[in-house]
Amino acid sequence: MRLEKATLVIPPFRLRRLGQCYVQQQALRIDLASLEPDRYRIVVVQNFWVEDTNPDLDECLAGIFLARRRRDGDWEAAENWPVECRSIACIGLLDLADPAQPRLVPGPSC
Amino acid sequence: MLTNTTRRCFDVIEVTNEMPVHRMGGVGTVMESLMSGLKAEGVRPLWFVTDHAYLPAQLEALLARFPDVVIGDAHALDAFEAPLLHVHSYQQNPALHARLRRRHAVFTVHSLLAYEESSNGVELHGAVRGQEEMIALARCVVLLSEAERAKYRALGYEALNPQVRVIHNGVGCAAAYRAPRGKRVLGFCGRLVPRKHPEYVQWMLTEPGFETRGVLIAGRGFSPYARDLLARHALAGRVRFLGWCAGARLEAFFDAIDVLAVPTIYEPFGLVAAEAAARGIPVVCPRTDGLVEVLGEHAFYCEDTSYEAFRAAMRRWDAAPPEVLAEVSAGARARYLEAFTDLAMARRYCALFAELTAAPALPGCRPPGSESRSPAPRPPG
Repeated sequence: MRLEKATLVIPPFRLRRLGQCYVQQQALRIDLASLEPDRYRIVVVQNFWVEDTNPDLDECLAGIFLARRRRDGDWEAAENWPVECRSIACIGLLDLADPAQPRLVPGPSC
Repeated sequence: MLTNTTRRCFDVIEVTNEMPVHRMGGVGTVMESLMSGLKAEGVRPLWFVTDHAYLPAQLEALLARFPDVVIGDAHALDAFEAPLLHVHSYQQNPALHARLRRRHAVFTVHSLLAYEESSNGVELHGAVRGQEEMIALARCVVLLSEAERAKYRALGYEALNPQVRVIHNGVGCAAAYRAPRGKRVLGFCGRLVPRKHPEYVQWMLTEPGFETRGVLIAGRGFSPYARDLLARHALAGRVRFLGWCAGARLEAFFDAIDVLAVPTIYEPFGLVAAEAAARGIPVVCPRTDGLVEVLGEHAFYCEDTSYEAFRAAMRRWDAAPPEVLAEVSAGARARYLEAFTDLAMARRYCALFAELTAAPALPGCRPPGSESRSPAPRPPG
């Protein structure tokens, strides 16, 4: 996972949780320019929005949800949005408080 | 308009919002069955995809995979001829309504939106009114079960259009029949919406005697309710959500489960029950609507739609010896082969098409008015 100017690049990944493996086969490039200045959690989600034909039931389609801090102090959750996703794991923090100087903090610290 | 055909005349034009890929619901599966069934009957349809949710790349894949496809708005229908439009659309569009008004059309109602609204506890607003308009404009309305016809009557829709036929769905199945199965894996397949009660099968895991069982859930949608349910009962390790399954994944799901739970409170037909019957999977369900017409007496029925009744039926399934399971599955399979294959459905539609094209237009329809219909009953609680 890395930043390329105002783009968050997440390479293909496989994440094992809850007895299943959450898979994203392609690199994801997320344009950060349109996001509000704030801190975000980078959350791996199970993607229920895309048809899956993989016969390996141990594997599930994964995606990325950027969760913003809410006014009540909690982090936003993918399940609260009409995107049909299930939060699986937080894999990093994205600090866009200064959009000119985005900072990426990978890891399970969140 | 996008198309992969140079023909302009067809036997019928199938107007749909979804095709057998990236299907939003059961309609895509019905399209798949119509494709194989109508082809076997020697009927050549045009597949007219309108008001869809496909991405550009998915549209290209559709055109590459299926013959005689048009993707466009309803105005493009004017470029094609056929004795009948067969409309499956559940999206409302004045231009499509205008074509229904001008051309002979059969409207298959895949579910009555007034009942979707009440059984799911949602407001569909203009969609219900739009469906009523389409019912009134069609020359003939097709419903998926006799139970659905009773609901149609209860809503007062016979005043909108009395020309109603029941044509049960059908589905092809290339999978092997395998029965009896074990007792370890409970399955649920379908959209994760309130009316289908996906929580029931998960609650079963908290019951005495079910501590070592697991649940597989194939279906779209995941909500805070689903998340909280898993957390509250510490079920995350025993319930596996497989997501939106299709093709080989859906087949793997059917192969992996030992029983299919369908604890729904509204089911216009019960396509998933027919798919289970074809494969030898016993079904536990209430006697809801079309499910009884699909399965006959060959299911483990709940006395009502409550969780307590579902639990009792699950316990009867769990206590059933292999010979009883085999008998139930064989009975359901026999019904499937007799009436609910893709070919059986296509034959029923072909008979209707022939009848309608041979007969003059029938009077009796009048413009819709939602205020004139009876309200759909709300589920208890």
